[in-house]
Amino acid sequence: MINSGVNYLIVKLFGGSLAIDSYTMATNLPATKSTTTTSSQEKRHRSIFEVPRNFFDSCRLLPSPHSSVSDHHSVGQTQIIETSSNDDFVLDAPQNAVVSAPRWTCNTCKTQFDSLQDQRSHFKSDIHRFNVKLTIAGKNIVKEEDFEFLTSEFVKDYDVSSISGSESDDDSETDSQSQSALHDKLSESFKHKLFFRLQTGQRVSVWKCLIMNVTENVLYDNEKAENEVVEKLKSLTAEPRDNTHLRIVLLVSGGHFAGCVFDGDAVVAHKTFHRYVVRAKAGKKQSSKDASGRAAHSAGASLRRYNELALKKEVHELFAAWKPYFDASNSIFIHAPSSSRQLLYDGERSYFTNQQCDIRNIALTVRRPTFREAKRVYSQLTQVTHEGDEKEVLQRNQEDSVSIHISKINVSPTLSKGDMAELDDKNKAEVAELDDKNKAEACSSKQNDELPILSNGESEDELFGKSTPLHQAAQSGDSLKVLELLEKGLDPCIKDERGRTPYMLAHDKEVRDTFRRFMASNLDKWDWQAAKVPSALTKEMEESQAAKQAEKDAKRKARAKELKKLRKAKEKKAQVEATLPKNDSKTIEKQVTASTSIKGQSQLKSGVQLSKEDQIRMAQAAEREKRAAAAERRIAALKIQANSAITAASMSEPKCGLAGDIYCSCCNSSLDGKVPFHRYNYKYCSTSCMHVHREILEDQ
Amino acid sequence: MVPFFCLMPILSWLLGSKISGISVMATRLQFENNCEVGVFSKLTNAYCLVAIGGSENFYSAFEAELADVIPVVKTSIGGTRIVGRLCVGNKNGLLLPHTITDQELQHLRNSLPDQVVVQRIEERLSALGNCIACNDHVALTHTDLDKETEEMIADVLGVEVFRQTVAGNILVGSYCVFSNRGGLVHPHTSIEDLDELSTLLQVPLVAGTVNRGSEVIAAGMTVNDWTAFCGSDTTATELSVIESVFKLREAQPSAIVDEMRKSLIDTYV
Repeated sequence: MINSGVNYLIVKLFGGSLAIDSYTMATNLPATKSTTTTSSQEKRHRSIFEVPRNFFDSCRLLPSPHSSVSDHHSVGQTQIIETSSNDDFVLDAPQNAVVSAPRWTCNTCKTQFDSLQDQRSHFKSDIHRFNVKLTIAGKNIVKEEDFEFLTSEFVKDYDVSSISGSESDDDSETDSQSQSALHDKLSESFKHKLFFRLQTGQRVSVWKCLIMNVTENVLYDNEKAENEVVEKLKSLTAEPRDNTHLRIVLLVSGGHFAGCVFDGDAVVAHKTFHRYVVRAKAGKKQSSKDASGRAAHSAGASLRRYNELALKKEVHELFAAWKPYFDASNSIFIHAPSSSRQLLYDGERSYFTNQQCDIRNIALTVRRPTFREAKRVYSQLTQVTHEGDEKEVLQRNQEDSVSIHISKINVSPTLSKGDMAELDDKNKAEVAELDDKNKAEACSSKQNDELPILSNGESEDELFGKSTPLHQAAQSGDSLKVLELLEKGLDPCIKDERGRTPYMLAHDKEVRDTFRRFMASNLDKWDWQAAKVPSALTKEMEESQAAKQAEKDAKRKARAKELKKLRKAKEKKAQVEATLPKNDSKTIEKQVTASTSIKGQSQLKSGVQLSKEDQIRMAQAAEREKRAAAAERRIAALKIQANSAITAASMSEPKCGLAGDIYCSCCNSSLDGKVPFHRYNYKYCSTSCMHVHREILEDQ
Repeated sequence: MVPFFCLMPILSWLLGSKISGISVMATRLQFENNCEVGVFSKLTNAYCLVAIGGSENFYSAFEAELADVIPVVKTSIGGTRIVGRLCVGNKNGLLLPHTITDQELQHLRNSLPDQVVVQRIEERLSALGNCIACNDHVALTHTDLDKETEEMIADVLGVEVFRQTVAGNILVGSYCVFSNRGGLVHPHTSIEDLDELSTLLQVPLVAGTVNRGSEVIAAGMTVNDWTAFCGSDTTATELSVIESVFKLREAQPSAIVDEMRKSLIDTYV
């Protein structure tokens, strides 16, 4: 259906004969087995290497041997012819195979091959895999011809390429991100694109980085510069496809590497590596973690370090092996954010040295580097996007961004009927077709993008819903508005462009509760299951919840109180303990000061002249302190004398008896200001003293 | 009477050498009273992985057969003992599921020979042993495996990868076992499929069972180019099928000794 539409469009634009040629070219392209080429069949005309001008040129230069078949008027016919020729091939093969002993067959796909190589390549192909899945599911197998058609359209339940769970997660994540920043990106993408006006009045755009550096400025007023750009584009379309004008896509991020060499639209070589380098859960590469200071010494860390080196080595080995490709390439597209850049660059110099080719950064959002992603990026880059008519563009500029919002990829937004009426008759038909085609494309590409969401068994009609005010209210967290809208009778089951109901958009608990409350009161009004509202929230439930919450709060409060009490009690205890020894020392001090103060006063009296009272007081205080210290010292000395006398008498120890509080038990030196070493009841100034004293004690 | 006594040391030498140096064709054994030995071990031409068990019997059975030729490594994968079902490997490499811990991975890297590439892969289907069957040249895989995984199998194990089912079973790794010399597949495999598969793999195949009729072939046995280990329930008939299809009899270095023994015994008795 879409094929015929495309064909029709080309007829409109370039006349019947051209369209026929272009179609035969397309069917005669080699290697149509692989999904790469088949899946893009329907969008074929949009790649820069396949634009009509190119077809026109190449058709003249290299008229294909089959171009004489002029009765390929409709797509249906050609397909029938194609299938019948394929059947012949299939029928011929078995006779050959039966004669030879080995069984070159595929029982699943009911086909036979004439060599082991064929058989083996079949068993690696996607159609075989697809058929195996079909047979296991108890369905009928598909033929190869149908498969090519299928892969472009119906393969939603059976995703043929990568089915990694993690990858789809990844995709949906980036999808949601991209959705939020969609508008910004759209306007951003205008900066990264170049627009052209064809002689038919059509406007098309290509990515700027396809033909020049993104940083390069385009001088739109300068005719010479403009011509240069156009020339570049023309040379692009006129390039020979003989592996001399290659383009290479290199994607690196987080331990994933994907490299892909393209010649026009065909993949010449590709390689992907993955190494475990990113710290699980914590994120970041091991090297960047190491660079931040504390280096971990776990088994995982050393594995990751090893893997980083190994990845680098592998990539460089690949570059060395791909040297001929790099030499033959004229542009290299790179996506290597932040530290991944080291994989490709040593300082300023890249590891793939090639003078004549440009190295350009990819101005698109790039997901996890895989072969599929590399192909997607490349096909996006080389796409010629129809931007619609001049008038349309002008109108669109005046339009609200909401209409832009509808089209996810950069296909021109669908026109509203009012706008259509304004267009003159001549353009009308063309635009209508363009519009239809764009719609179809937008749908198909959207379906691809939305696959992960679709997979839980929703019908696709629902998918292309529209964002309602209810969605907006739910997303903005305005619960009052949500309630108001719900009461007005807005359908909560309506899904937006990404298949989400308003409830799914609600971030706020209050908003979600609003939905649930409304569900409780209007249980039969809507299909709440379709609206994805999990359960009703009745008054009683809320009350019981509130009661529970209150109970919890009370408990928490009680506990906090208890803790506080405990803490207070502890503090008090500590205070009491702290004050007790202080009091002791204070009493002594007081006694001392009391004894000295009398003297001081008398001194003061005698020496008192006309000095100010403050000064006197100060001097007094200083004096008092000095005296107190001296007195203390005296008392301590007295005590020691007394002690030593006692111990000397009782134990008859030589030299160093049991020391006082502040003297070393061995060498008798003062310990004040030092932290003494303790052993039993003894105190020492140093460990050597302790050892000496221990020996002395042992000798006794 | 005298010649018989003279014979004793020679016989014992022969038998002893059979155990230590020259392997028997197929060994029947158990893992802790469980006959599914393929679950708890992984045997290739370059190394053998054995689950850490409560008793040493299982390990020492492998050790006795293989220790002189290839390393026998005791390990767990992701803390489990079902090593045979979780990993896949051949003489070129070993692929491990993402559930494996860093410590286990490093232990394996340290204990396996340097030329064996040990690689962990991020695949949703983590029981790689159930999803992939391979020898040193070709591999059959589950149809739902990731493209990246497929690429990695081809790279690390150095094999051509085919996606196929065995008798309608998608778990090819469980329902077939093949070495470079032969293979055993699910008993319900049709003759056509058998022919097709053996053409595809370039290895002679036979449909059969192990462990007294168990159709989960890979769980019941593990095999390389010169020896096989089967669950202790395996009948003599099954064993003889296994020995003949995997060509374990001719693979024996002991074949020569067998002949020598005959002549020796002829002479002396």
